[in-house]
Amino acid sequence: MSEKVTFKELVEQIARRSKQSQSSTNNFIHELVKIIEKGLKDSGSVTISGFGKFELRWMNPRKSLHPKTGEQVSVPGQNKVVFKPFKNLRDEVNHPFAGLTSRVLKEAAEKFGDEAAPEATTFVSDTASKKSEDSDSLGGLLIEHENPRFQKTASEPEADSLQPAASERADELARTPDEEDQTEAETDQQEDGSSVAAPAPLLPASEEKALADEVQKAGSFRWSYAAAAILAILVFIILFFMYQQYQEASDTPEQAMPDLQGQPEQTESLPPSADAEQESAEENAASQTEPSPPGSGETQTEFETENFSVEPGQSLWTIAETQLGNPYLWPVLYHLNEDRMGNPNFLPVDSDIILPSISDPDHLNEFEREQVAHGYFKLYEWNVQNNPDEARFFLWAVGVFSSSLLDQPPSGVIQEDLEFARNR
Amino acid sequence: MNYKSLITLLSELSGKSERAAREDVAHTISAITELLASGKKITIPGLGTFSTKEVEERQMYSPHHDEYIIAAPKRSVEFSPSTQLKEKLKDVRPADE
Repeated sequence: MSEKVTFKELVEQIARRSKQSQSSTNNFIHELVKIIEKGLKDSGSVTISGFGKFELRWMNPRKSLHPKTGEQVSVPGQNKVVFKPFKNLRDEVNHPFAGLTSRVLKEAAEKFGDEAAPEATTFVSDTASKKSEDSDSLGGLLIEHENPRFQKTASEPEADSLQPAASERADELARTPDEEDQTEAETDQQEDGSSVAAPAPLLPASEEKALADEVQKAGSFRWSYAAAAILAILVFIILFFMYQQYQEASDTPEQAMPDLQGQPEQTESLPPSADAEQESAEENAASQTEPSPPGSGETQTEFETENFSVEPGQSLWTIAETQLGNPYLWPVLYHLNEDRMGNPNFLPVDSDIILPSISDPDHLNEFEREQVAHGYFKLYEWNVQNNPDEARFFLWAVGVFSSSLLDQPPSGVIQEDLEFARNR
Repeated sequence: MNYKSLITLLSELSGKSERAAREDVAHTISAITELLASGKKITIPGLGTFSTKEVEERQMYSPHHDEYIIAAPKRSVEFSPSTQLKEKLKDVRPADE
């Protein structure tokens, strides 16, 4: 099959096609080669449309054994020239086998999966012999039929019918060496002596195959683990995003709450969710930590307070927003009204609460900050009792408003939460 | 280097028109393809050897479908670069296009 064509013959062929003299064609090919070389040198790849792509591939330096002496030698890094044929060239070259497709080997998968090694080995040896038989018969067909389509239809059933026969023959060969000559003679007659090689590589090939298959099995195992891990990560990410969205969304119901709770039977109003608190408190932290204006420099010891009557639909959050000017100051309301509330999430309608007067909600003075921090601390204490998972966020908010309170923590602070609040 | 710049360079080098260069390349390609398709082995001095290789059908494992298959036999193109070309390009570090 691999008959050599000299360069002269190639030039003749091309010259006939292009109707040019052989010497000019010769020159032309040398020029083409020169340009391919230049292209590889300059850009590392040369594409010839309708043919293929030449590429330089850098091979990293590696250690190798000298084939004769067995010494270790280091091979320097170097370029390799590779050629990738394009589809039309591949198809042209592959025309004798065109239309043949890969088949699934179902029994093999089952056997390898379930049964012990020795049986698998015998199976492989069967297929090994069958394989060579098949390809031999194919080779015969190729010569007989030039038309690839016809070939395909002819070869498929042939190959199938060969399967049992082939395995039988392999068994015979294995068990009765006496008959070997006879069988070989038969196959010689049938297939022009081309199948003599079939029994020879039987054993080593089967061992190798069995090994390779074990390796593959192990590989598929790891794949399933990897898939499970990826799935778990995905689920985690999705949950995380949902949690975040929930946090963002929880701001909106806050605004809409007065409408929702306008009905008289609702005697309680909900304060903002704790999570929304954290997020927005964080945003506010920057402005809150700015030093208070010198105008309010006198040390304050008490709020000027007034009473405020709670109406349906109001929460500490909305009251802080409308009356104090900053909803994030709502803990100070809780701080002042703790004795009559208990649960910071429930605010009885028609009750009076104490409302402090805060001069500038964006620039709190020292005393006000401390009071807000105390409010957050009270919330922390309440949440430790009732909502331990989120309590630490309130402690963190304490630190945002008054870091000194965190430096001398009152009793009842969980150490882990304290570390969380300090490190945030 | 893409096909167009190859043709441009070729026409500059040989003094032919780009169209003529394109035709010549097409003829060369079709001749090589035809020879390869008939299973021949072609050596182009300074470039390398094109040959074909037949791969028998073989049993293999497809990790994508997790199944054992008998891969269809095929004949493919092989290219082995000439020693000259290998030597010349051994240490080149081309700037990527």
